[in-house]
Amino acid sequence: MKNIFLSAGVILLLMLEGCKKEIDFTGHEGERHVVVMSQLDPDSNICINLAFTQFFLDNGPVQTIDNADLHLWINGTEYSPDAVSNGNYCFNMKPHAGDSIWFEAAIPGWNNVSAGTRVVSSPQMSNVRFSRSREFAFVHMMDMYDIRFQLDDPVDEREYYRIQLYEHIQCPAYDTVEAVDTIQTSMFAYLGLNEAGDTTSPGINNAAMASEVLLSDAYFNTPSKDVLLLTMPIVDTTGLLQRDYFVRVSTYSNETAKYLSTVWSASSMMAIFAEPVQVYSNIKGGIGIFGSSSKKMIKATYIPIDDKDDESTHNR
Amino acid sequence: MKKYIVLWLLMAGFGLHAQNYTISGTITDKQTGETLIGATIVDGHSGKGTVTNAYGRYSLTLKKDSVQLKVSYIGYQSAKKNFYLASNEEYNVALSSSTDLQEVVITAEKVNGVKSSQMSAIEMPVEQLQAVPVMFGEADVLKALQLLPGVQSGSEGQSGMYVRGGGPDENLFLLDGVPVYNVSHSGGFFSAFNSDAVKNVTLYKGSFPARFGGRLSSVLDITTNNGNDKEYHGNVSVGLISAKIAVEGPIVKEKTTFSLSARRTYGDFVLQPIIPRLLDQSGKDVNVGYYFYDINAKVTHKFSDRSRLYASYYMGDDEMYSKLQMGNIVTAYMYQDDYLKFGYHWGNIVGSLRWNYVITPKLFMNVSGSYTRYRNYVLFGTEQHYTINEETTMFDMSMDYNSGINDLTGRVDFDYTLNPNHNMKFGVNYIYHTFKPEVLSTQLTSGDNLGNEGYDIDTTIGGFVINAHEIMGFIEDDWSISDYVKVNAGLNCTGFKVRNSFYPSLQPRVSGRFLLNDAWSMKIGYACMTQYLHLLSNSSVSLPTDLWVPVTNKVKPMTSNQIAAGVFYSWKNTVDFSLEGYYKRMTNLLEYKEGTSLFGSTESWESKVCMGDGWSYGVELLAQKSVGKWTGWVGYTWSKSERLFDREGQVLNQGRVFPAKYDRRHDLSIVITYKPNKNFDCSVTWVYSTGNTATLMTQNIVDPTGSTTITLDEYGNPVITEEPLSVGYMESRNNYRLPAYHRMDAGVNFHKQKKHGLRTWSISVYNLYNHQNPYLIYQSSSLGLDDNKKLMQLSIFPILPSISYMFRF
Repeated sequence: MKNIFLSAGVILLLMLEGCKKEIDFTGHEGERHVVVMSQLDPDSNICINLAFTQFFLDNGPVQTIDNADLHLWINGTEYSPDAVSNGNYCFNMKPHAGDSIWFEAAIPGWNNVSAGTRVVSSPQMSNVRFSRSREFAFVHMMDMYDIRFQLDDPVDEREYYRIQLYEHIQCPAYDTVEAVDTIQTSMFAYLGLNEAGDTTSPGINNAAMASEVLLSDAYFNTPSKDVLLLTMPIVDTTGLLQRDYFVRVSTYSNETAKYLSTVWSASSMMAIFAEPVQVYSNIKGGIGIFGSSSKKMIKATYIPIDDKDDESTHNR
Repeated sequence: MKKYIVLWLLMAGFGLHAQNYTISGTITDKQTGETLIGATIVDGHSGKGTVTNAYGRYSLTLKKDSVQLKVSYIGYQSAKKNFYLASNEEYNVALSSSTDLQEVVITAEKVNGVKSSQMSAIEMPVEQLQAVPVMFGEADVLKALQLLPGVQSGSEGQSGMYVRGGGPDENLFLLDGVPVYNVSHSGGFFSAFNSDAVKNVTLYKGSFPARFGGRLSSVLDITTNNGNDKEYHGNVSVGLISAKIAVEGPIVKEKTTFSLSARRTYGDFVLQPIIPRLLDQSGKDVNVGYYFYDINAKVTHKFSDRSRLYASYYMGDDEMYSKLQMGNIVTAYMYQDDYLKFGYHWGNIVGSLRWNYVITPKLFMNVSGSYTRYRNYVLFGTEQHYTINEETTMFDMSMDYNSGINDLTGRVDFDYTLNPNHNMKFGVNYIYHTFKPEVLSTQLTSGDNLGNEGYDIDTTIGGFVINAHEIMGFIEDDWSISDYVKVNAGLNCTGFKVRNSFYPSLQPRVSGRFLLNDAWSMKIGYACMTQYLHLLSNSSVSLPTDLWVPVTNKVKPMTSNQIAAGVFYSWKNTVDFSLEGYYKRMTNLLEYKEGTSLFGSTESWESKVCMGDGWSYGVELLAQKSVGKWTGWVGYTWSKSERLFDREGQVLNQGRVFPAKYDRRHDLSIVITYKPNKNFDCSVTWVYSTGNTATLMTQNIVDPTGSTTITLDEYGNPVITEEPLSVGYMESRNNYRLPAYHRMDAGVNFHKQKKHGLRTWSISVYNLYNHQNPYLIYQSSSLGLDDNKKLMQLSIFPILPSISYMFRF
């Protein structure tokens, strides 16, 4: 009887396999657009990438644009690129926080593209603390940890942040006793912002059960912003392993934050259940993003002791 | 306003000066005692006529004179009676089922016939529904209706309805007068209505009578069997995926009857042994299954010819469950077992109590109270068991998402025959809605095998309830102005109160018929509709988890204004032709905002939606033959349906017009049934439609630094590497049209009278020529390599033969 069922299952699978068919897409390729990509960072030289959109069934490399006549204005002063290669128009200068930067590019046969942005400040973090979570600690294998720090930025300016969490541990690999150096994105179960905001506040993307979050300070715009990340660590069956957490904090311009938010929606694993989304663009005459960002990373190390009391060190 | 009402009453009362008497009664099936809906009663002398209502009652007021009364109904032998009408008469008629359909006399007073004032409506006898070839041997009410012009299906095999460019939530499904919210099993492959329990189906696509309200696009009025009042009967059937049973009979002969039908799929029993092998999970703990069932029950009691009580009940549920052992991990320290859990449940309960009372021969009253409930529930979860030194610790993390709606309804309505020219209906209806739009709960528990409890965390988001009151009053008059002109005019007044908002609405309805001669008529109709409920549905996939939500102070009621006009022709009372055109404008339609997801969000539903407008227009042609050995119809629709969401903060598609989800230019259905004798019948259907729309991101943006990975350098410091990220660029919503859809189905039924009943073998073939119709499209690379990208379509139903056995006793 089992063989009959198995045969029926195989026939069913073959029938379903036969239900796949290639669609001839000729004539539906869609219109190509000029794509501008640039994130101005106070710690890096200015670079602007120009390319064309790529037909989604194309296999080749992206077609970059190297023949554009591109000019840049920083606080009203015009500059020309110092080097052009593979669609990258680079300048031997770094932007400064607060600079207003505008570019315009003329591309033969295409509309001019242009956009502007304001360079953001680097994230300022202080008072990093790290402890075993009293509130959420489970049995010994599932300890959870609080990472707390302060973000310092001017109250009168709207800032956009991205917080990414990574975990480094020397843990035994599966089916062996040898320790392996592992670094990976780490999930956090909860994000706390001051005392008021939390993971359910509107305007916060990817707040819970994620390894990164994008948020604005609209809901906690005080001079000193307390941030709490409740981690979901790699399971430590011994309870004795030292672990390092790396928290990468980025500040973003308004345009970059919008762009990133839509990119996340479009490329999310859950996109199949979501409405199709148009990726945000601030490029006049094309698509893409001309924005600004700045990043810093802090490290927090947890050194366990036998009685499971809090014991932590931190450094930056 | 007053003077118009007085004038109308005067005109309505015109003719009262003549001495009139009323003939009233109930038309039933002689063999079963079942009341017949839509039977025609015509006086041959005056040409005046009427049809029976949903309870088989009629009332015909005529002048004092000799009367030549003829009663007829499709599939039954007509009855005639000549008498002199000198007083009010109660005339109940029991019609005999015709064994030879050729003998049946058909009148044109059908719901959408040449002489009726109603347009954009189709009445379908259940015998016709059951004759249509079916998938897996399951006769399906909604799939049969999808073959009619103006009605479109969603995706392949789905039982959802899209009527004249409207959405699936814009259809009012009434089961014995009670709304049903989710009408599908198996995610839409089967409808929730068991055809064994159904007596009559009427679909209104436009020109809605004033007695209906609450939805924009259609009303599907389904009446179930009352039950045989003379003897016990029933049937048992077994098909490829389900088994059904139906029994009916008298509890007290010719007084109290019952009807009970039930069905259940058994795929879960049959597939359970092979699922572990199919999933490549042999040797592991696997518990996966799916089933649905439904039960219809009805008890009818006749106190007298004037008074009847009906109690009906429906319950249907779908249950999908799985618990998979994902693997076990053995390390030097521990043994770990991981399980993945998934559950999916949805279902309706509908119950009603109804009392009919004939107050006078001219006045018929119907009082009812009903309850309807729809709920759905999704569960995701993981279970982990860690064993260290014989101590097992268990972590159970689950997330469930549920939603539901409950309605309590009270209704009183009347049918009143004012005089030979006026048949009026009026009444009031009140609904108390309880919405639970979405509740997201997360549970985390732990413990060990030594009895130590760990942690038990239960977090619930959005578990609030919204209560709303909906009240409706209506009046309509079917007015024969002359032999040539007949008008059905009415007004539907509604009010909806939710939280601190109250939304009133006046919805005028009118349709008129201009009879050119006995065979030809022209009709025109207008209907204004308001809908206070929305179904939040993802544009790419419709699921039973779609949320029913009410209007709020932010979300406004949907409204539609539809005009329709048509020409109707009856050829020798045998073949009916209709050609109708319509234009429908809709406002405050609701869609999810771009990028919003059904799952994984803590935002409330109100912040995820945006409102916009839509319009649709089209032409529908129907040629239908209902009598004879050869029956069937040809239906063709040309239509266009578009949407515009350009309100501030509620923009979709950059504020530009885009095609609606199931906008299709052409839709053609041909249904042919051949019944040469009582032992054999066969049928063939062929459908063709323009392909569905889809949003396809045909161009990609490549962000050179869009993706990051982290590694450690030789000193143990983290290094972030930026890599290109490719993201799809959406040119416009619904920018791609899938290949055209076409399919042929065929079925044969072999009947044989046995000693104890009638045996029927049914053989049907779905998708006879095995056309690969697109169900979904996806990007694939051959052998998993990126250098050969292709766009693929997946068809889910190849040629599907099926067989079922039925025994009627």
